[in-house]
Amino acid sequence: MRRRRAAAAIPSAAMADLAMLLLIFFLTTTYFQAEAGPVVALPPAAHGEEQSEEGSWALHLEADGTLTLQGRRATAGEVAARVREGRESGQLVRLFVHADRALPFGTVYPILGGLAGEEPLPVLLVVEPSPEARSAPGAEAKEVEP
Amino acid sequence: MHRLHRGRLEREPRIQLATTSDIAFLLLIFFIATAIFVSPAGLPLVLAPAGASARRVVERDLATVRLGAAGEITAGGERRTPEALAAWAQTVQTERPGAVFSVEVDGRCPYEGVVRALDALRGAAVERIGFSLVEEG
Repeated sequence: MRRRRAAAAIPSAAMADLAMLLLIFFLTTTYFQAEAGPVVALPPAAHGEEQSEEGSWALHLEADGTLTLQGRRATAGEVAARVREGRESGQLVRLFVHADRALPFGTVYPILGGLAGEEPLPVLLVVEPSPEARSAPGAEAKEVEP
Repeated sequence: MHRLHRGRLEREPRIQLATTSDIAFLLLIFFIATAIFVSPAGLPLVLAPAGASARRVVERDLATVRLGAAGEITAGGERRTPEALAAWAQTVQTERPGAVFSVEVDGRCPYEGVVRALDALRGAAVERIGFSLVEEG
C-alpha cells in the first residue's frame, strides 16, 4: 500500500498576526517630537550640516534677547553655569544655538564667549537650510576664538 | 461553515480576513518607508577654551573680513557679496595655505549677516576662523 505524502508548505497562518503586531507596535511607539523651546526666525544657510541631537542641548536666543536653555528661561550667567555643569557631568556634548536672525551680533557674541569653559565646546549654529542647501559630508568643524 | 436550519442548509456569516495580512504588510511597509528622522542643520564651530593662550599669527597669513553694521562684507579691501567672499577665500587659501581668517564684526551687524559670511567661508572650505567684535561708532 502506497503512503500519500503531504505537500510541503510554509505555515503562514501567523503572518497576519505578526504583521499586525508590528504595525501596532510602530503606530503606538512612533511619536512626533515638537521642537522644544520658543520659535525663532533662523538665518538661512546653504552649507548647514545635520548633526545628531544625542547629547546636545538647545539654547534659544529670541529677538528680544530672551534666553532659553533646554526649555527653561535663564540669564546669560545661569546659562553659562548650567553649560559648565553639563560639560563637567558629561551630559552636554554639543550645544545647538537657535538664535534669531535679527539679533545684533553684539548681543550674541558675549553670550557665546561666556560659554567657553576649560574644554573646547562644540557648537552648532542652527540655520534654516536654504533651497540650494547641500550637505557637506566630512566637513571639519571650524575653530573659533571668541 | 454550513448548518442545517429547519431543513435548509444555511451558510454562517463570516468576515473575510484573507486580505488583512496584505493590508497590514502594505501599511507597515508604507510607514517604514516614509518615516524620516530630522536632525537640525547648522554651521559647526568649536568654542576655544576661555584660558586658551592667544595664538600669534604672522600678518602675512592673516586674511581679514569685516562685517559692517548692516551686514555688508569687506574683504581684501573691497566690498563683496557672499559669493565673491567665498571665491576670494578660495584664492587666499590657494596662495597662502596656512591662512587664518579673522572676521571683525560690528556689534550692530545682524546675526544673519554673520551666518551668511560664515556660510560663504564654509563653502570655501575655510578651516581656521577667529571672530572679534568691533566697537560701535
